[in-house]
Amino acid sequence: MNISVESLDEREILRNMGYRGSEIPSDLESLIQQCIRQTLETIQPRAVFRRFSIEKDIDGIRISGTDLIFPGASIQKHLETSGEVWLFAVTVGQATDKLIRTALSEKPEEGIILDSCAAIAVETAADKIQEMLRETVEREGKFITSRFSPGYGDLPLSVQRDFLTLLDTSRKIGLTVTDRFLMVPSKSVSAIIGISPTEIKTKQNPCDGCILRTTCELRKAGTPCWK
Amino acid sequence: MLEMKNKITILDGAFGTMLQQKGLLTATVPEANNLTHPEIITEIHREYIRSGAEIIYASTFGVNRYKLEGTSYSVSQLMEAAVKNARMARDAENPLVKIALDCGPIGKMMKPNGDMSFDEAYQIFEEIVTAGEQAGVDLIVFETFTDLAEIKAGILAAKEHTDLPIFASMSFEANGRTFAGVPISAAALTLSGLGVSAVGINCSLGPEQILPLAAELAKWTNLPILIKPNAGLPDPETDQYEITPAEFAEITARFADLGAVFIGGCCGTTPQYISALRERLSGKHPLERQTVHRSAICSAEQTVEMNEVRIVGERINPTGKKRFKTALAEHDIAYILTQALEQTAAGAEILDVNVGLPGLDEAAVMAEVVEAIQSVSNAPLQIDSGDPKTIEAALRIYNGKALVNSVNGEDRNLETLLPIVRKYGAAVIGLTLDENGLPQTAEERVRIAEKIIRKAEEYGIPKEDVIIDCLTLTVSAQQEQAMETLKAVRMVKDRLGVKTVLGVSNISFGLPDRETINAAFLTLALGQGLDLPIINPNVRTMTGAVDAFKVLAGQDKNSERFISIHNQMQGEKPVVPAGSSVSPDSSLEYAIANGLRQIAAEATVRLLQTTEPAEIIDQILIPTLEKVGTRFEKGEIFLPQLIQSAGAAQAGFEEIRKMMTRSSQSGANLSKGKIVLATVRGDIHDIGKNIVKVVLENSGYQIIDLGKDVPIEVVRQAVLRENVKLVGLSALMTTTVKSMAETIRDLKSHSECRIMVGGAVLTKDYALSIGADYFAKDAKAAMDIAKKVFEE
Repeated sequence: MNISVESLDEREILRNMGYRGSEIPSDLESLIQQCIRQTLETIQPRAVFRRFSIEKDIDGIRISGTDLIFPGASIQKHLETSGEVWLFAVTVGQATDKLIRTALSEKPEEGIILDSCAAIAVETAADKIQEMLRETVEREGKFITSRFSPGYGDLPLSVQRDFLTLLDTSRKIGLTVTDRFLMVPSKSVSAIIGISPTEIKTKQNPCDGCILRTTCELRKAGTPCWK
Repeated sequence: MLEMKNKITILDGAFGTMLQQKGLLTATVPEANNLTHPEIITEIHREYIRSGAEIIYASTFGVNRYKLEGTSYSVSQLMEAAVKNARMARDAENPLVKIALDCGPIGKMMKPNGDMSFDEAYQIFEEIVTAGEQAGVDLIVFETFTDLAEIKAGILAAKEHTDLPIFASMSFEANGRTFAGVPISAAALTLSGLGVSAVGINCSLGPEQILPLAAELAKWTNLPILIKPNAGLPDPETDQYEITPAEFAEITARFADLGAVFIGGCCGTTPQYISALRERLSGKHPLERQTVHRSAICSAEQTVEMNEVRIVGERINPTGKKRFKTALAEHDIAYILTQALEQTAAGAEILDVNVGLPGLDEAAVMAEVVEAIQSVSNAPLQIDSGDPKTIEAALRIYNGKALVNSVNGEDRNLETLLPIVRKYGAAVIGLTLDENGLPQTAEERVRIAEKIIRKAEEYGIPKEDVIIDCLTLTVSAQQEQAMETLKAVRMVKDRLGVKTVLGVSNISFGLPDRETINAAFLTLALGQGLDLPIINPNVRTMTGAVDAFKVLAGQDKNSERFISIHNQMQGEKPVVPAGSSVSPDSSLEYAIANGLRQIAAEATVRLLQTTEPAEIIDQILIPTLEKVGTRFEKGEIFLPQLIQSAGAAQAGFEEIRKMMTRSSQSGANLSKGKIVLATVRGDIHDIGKNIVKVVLENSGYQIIDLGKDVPIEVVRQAVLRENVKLVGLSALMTTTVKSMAETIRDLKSHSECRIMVGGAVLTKDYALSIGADYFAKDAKAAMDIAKKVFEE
C-alpha cells in the first residue's frame, strides 16, 4: 500500500549528517529546504506487511506455516512475550536513489543532503506503519514491541532475502536484495514487530543490540538515532 | 500466428491465487508443485481452458536460476514438468490451445540500482527460454516486469536463442509508471522496437485503473495489445482482491474497445472470472486501431517526441576539445557526467555521445559511458559513431530507444548498419552523402535522403524513425552551401515528410565570433523546418534562439515556457557570498572557506595571470581546504559545508586544468599522487567513498575511482597498472566487510601499497585486524592519512 509522507523533520536530517549545533549559513539552510521539497516530491513510499504466528525454537523464532527462521538470542529476547509478529517492509522507491546519484555527480553537497532526507523519509514512513499496526493491535487489547530489523544484534543480515521473499516485496513494492543482502532501493526498511498480550514494560535500550555501539558518534553525544 | 483478425483471444487467469485456494502456496518455490502435485496443476489449467482460455501460461513464472538457488530444483527440470502439465491439460480439453512459457522478473535489481549486470540477466534468461523451447512451449510471455533493461535482456535472449513469438508485458502503478519509473510511452517504444509480437500491461492494478493506461499504450504502439488486470486492488491486511467475476468481466471487456486483442486476468482472478469475461466478450470485436506514426525516442524514464524542436547537446565529443580528450584518455567518467548534466540543465533534451579517440577501444568506452550517463541522466541518447561494433555495443545495453548518429547513402554503409538499428529498435540519422561524396545541390541531397528512407523501410525501419541530416558545411570555405543546406532541409521536410537534424556549430568554423553566425544560421534552419538542432546548449544565444522560435512558430503555447525560463533568467542575480552583499571578499581563500564555486573560479582565473599554478595549489587551494577540514573536525562546520568547500576548491582546480590544457602542459604534474578508491565487492552503498573522493581530489590528488561493487582483481589491476601508493576501500555493512578483508589480503600479497579503510561498521581495531594500514573515520581523516603517506 502507498504511505503518505508529507513532511520531514529537519533536526533528524541534520543529525543524520553528523550536525553538532554549529551555525548554519542562510544559503545552506535554503539548500536544505530545497532538498526536503525535492525529496518529498520524489519519494513514493510503499509498504507491505503481514501478520504471522510464531513458534519458539532453541535456534530462534520460526514464522508459522513457512520455512523462515530468525536465529539468535537477540530476536528471542525481543519477542520474549510475543506469540505473533508483524513482518513489514517499506521503501521510498528507485527514483529517490537516482535523484541522489545524479545530485552526487552534479553537486555533491546536495547529494549528501538528499541522501539524508531520503533516509529520514523512509524512517518516517516506517514510523507511520508502526503506528498503524499499533492501533490495529491495541483495538484487540494487545501491545507491540519496537522494530527489530535483520542485522540488529545477532540476527544476521542474511535472513533478509527469505524475509522479503515471504512478503513478496519484489512484486508488491519493487524491493529486492543483492547477493550480499543489501536492500535495493537503498532507502528501505524491513522489520519485525512483536505482538504481545502484555505491555512491554522493560524498555530495551536499542543501542545494546547495535553493532555500532562502541563507535557511534550519536550515542556518545547523547542523541542516539532512536532518540 | 497467434492473434486472429478481428477477434479477441482469451488468456487465462492467476495461477498463484488458484494454488493458494488449494493450499499449495506455502512452499518457497511455488513452481515445485509441478513436480509434487502435477495432477492439481493440470486440473487448474483444465479449469482455465474450460472457462475459455485460448492461451494458457505454464506455471513457470519464478523458474529461474536465482530463485532456485539453494533448492534441489533446476530450471530445466521445473520447466519440463510445468510444460508437461500444461500439455496434458490441453490434450484433455482442447488441442487448439496454445501454451506459453511464463517468465517473470528475476527477483534482483539490475545495475546501477542493484548488483545484477546486463550479461548476468541475459544468461539467466537464456537458460529459461532455451529450456522452454525444448519443453515445447508455443510462445514466450515476459510479464510483470518493472525494469525496462531487464525485460530487454530477456527479449534479446529469447530472440537470439529461440524462434518463438514473444509477448512483453509490464506492470504499472496508477501514476502511469513502473516501480523503476518507466512511463508507458517508453515501454511501448522500446518493446515495440525490439520486435516482439505483442506488448501489454498486467498485474499491479485492477481493470478500472488499467483502462486509461491501456488507452495511453495504444497511442504509442502498432503492435497487438495484451491486458491482464488483477481482480481489483488487494486489501492490504487480508490480501483479498475486491471485485467480483461479474464486475471484473464488465470492465475488462472494455479493453476490446481500445483495440486490445489478448485479454485475461492476473492476481486474484480465477476460472470464474475468465468464464465471466468470455461471456462478456462473446460476439465482441476489438476496435480496429489507427496506425500510429510518431517520431520519438526515449530513455527508461523519459520520452522525447520530435513533434516540436528538441535540442541535441553536442558537448560529449572529444573533437576539438582538449579537456574532453584528456578526460577520455584518463578514464575520467565523472567529468563526462558533469558535461551531460550541465547540458540537460541548460535545455538539451537529447544528448549526443561520441567517444571516438585514436588508441581507445571505442566500443568498450561507448558502452561504459552510455551506462554511466544513463545512471544519472534521464535524457535519451544519440549514439554517435560510424563503427558498427561501437553502435551495437551501445544499443545492446542502452535502456530505452536510442537514436543512432549515423548512416549515409552508401550501399555498404546502409547494409552494415541498418540491420543493427532494426534489431535493437533504434531510430537513425541519415546523412545525405554517399560514395560520390557530398552533393553540391539540394536536389541531389534529397535524392540520397529518399534512398536512405527507402532502404530503411526495406529493413523494416519505419519512416518516422529516420531523421535526415542535410549537412552543414563551413560557410567560410563554401559560402554558397549555407543556403543550399537550408533549401535541402525544407525540401526533405516537404517532399519526404521526415524529421531533420543538423549539426549547427560547424557553419562558423574559421570565423571570429562564432556564436553570432551559429545563432543566425540556427534561426534560419529552424525556419526551414529543422527539428533537431545539434548545438552547444550552454550558449544562451543558441538555446534562446530555439526558445524564441518555439514562441514564433506556435510550438510554445501562450509563450508559457519562454516566459517561465526567461523571467527566471532576468531575475538571476550575480552570485554574492552570504552575509557580505555590499563588498564581497573575492579572494580564493574566502571562496573556498565559504564554499562559493563561482567566486573560487573567478579568483583562480585572476590569480593565474600573476601566479604559477603550482603556487596557487600549494599555497592557497590545499592549505585552505585543510583549514576547512580542521574546522569540520572540531564540529565548527558539518559535512555539507566541508563538501561545499571541496567543490569550491574543485572549481579552482578546474580553471588551472583548463589553463594548462590550453597551454599544452600535461595535467598530470598537478597531482600530489595517485589514490585508488573503491567500494568493495558486494557493496553498493558508495556515498562515503564519494565524499572522500570529493575531498581528496581537491586536496591535490589524482583519484582513480573504481566505483562500487568492485571485484578484487579490478582493484589489484588498477593498483599495479598505475603503480599506486595508497588505496582507499569502503564497506558499509558487516556482510561486505568480509570482501574488504579479502581485497586487502589480495593487495598485500601483490603490492606494497598502503591501504586505508572506512565504513559505518568499522572500528580502528577491526580495520587493523583485517590488515588495513589506516582507519579513516571520515573524510578529514582520509586527508590526513593521504598527506602522511605521500609526504613520507
